[in-house]
Amino acid sequence: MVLLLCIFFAFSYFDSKYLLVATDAEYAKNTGRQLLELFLVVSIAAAIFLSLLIYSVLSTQNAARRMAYAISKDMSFSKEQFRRFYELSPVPYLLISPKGAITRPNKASLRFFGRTEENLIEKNFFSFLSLPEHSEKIMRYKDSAERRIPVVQKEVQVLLDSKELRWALLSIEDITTPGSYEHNCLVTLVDIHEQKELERIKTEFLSLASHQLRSPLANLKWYIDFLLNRRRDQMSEEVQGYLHKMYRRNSDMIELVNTLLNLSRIEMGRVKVEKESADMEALTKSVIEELEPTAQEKKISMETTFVGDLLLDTDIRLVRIILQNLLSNSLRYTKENGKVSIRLSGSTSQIRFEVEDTGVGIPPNEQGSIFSKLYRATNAKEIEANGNGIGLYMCKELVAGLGGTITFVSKLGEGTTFTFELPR
Amino acid sequence: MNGKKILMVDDDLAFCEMLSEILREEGAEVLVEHDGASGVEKALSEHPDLVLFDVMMPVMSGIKALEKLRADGWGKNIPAILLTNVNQPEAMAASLENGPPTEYLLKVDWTLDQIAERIKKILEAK
Repeated sequence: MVLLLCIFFAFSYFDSKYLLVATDAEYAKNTGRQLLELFLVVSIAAAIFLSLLIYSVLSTQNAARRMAYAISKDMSFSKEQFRRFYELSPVPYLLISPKGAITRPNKASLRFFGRTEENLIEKNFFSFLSLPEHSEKIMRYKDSAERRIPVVQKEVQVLLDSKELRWALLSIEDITTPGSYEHNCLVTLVDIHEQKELERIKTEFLSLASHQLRSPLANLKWYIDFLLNRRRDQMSEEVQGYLHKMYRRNSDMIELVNTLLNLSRIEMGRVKVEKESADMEALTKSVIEELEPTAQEKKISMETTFVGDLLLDTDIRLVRIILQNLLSNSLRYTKENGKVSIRLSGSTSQIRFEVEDTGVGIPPNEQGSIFSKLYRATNAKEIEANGNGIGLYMCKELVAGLGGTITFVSKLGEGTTFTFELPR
Repeated sequence: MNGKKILMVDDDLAFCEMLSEILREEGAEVLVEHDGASGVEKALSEHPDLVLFDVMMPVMSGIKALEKLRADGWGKNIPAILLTNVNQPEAMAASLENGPPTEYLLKVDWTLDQIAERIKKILEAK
């Protein structure tokens, strides 16, 4: 560009200076000078152009060199950072070959195994895994690693140096980079030993608690039952009345203990769903019948509507618990002379259960928490101090366990409708 | 239940007394023991028509006692009821897989009359 500009200006200059001269002799003399001057100007322009060119090439090279330096510095920095992250992570990591030979354990893994690095390197990782009843599973994980299929968060027991077995969640991921000849798998072990121990203790506690809590309640039930059925003639009406009351309170207590135990079982994932074909209308009617005395006491009318095919393959024990909870809630939070409506409608894909009441309703700002465990709405607490905040939580868990959904619509002071749908 | 011999093995004395009264009223002969080991001994010597074992008992548990009974030629097919308040019916069921006519009842869910009724039904079906 610079060169072209110089040539252009040189030509314009010479044109204006020499072309106006008239004679041939002068013209010839001037042409020599003209060429000489033109050559001079062009050489200067070329020199400037060349030096500019060299400068720009040199400076580009420098910039590239600087950039390469910065990148390599960055890379070694991130490499170092990554190394430190790997080494110092509190999570036990090991690099193993696809065959299982340990190549690089991090510090946390040494702590986990209770071994030194020398003691672990080159050893086969899978020889430290133990699942007495599931040795096949270990072989499967080994096979997966060899075929570079990821193993994701599997529960295993790891044999430590102390010969103790410790529970961990095992993940194996092939991290070989494309084009690399060295094959590496990253093993991650998440220590879940405390969790597993707590689970075991909880299970033991539950079975003990269920026995210890139920035994005296069962005894009381039998004593009262025995007296009322077989020693009735030895008791006055008054005594019999009190015994009936005792029997009812004891039954409440049995129900509460059963609820708590059921809840614990749900939380441990130990409720088995046992399906059988059952008529939901008959089931609903029997639950209503159980609660009829409470409704009568509060002069609450209970209305039912049954529409469509109401035969369902389901676990009636669980559906009964759900209905019992929703209905007794409705009765509890509906004032005297109120109304509770129960509607069942069956379609080809599901059965919908609706329990509507004219009760106190749920405050709008608390509606999001109503299915949370131990949560009780503020107005519910005012009405009934003794609720346990478990019923709706349990309903939600049980409906989910049966593959259905539960929702509600509520207006403060006007009433609430709970709806749950169970698929066919 | 006339003439039927029933063996009750439970360390809860009051329960044994009350249930035996009901069963005797129905015409059954009732034998009572309070621990698993004596229960097995009594069962093997008396050959009752039905045995009723509590699960958690001193000396020997009901499950262990039933296992011993099932190992015996006569005891192999004897109807048995296991009574308990432990919340593990599945675990219980697994331990009873080999014994054919065994029932598991959660004590707290049953009244004495219901238990007696259940026993009657099992004996009638025998």
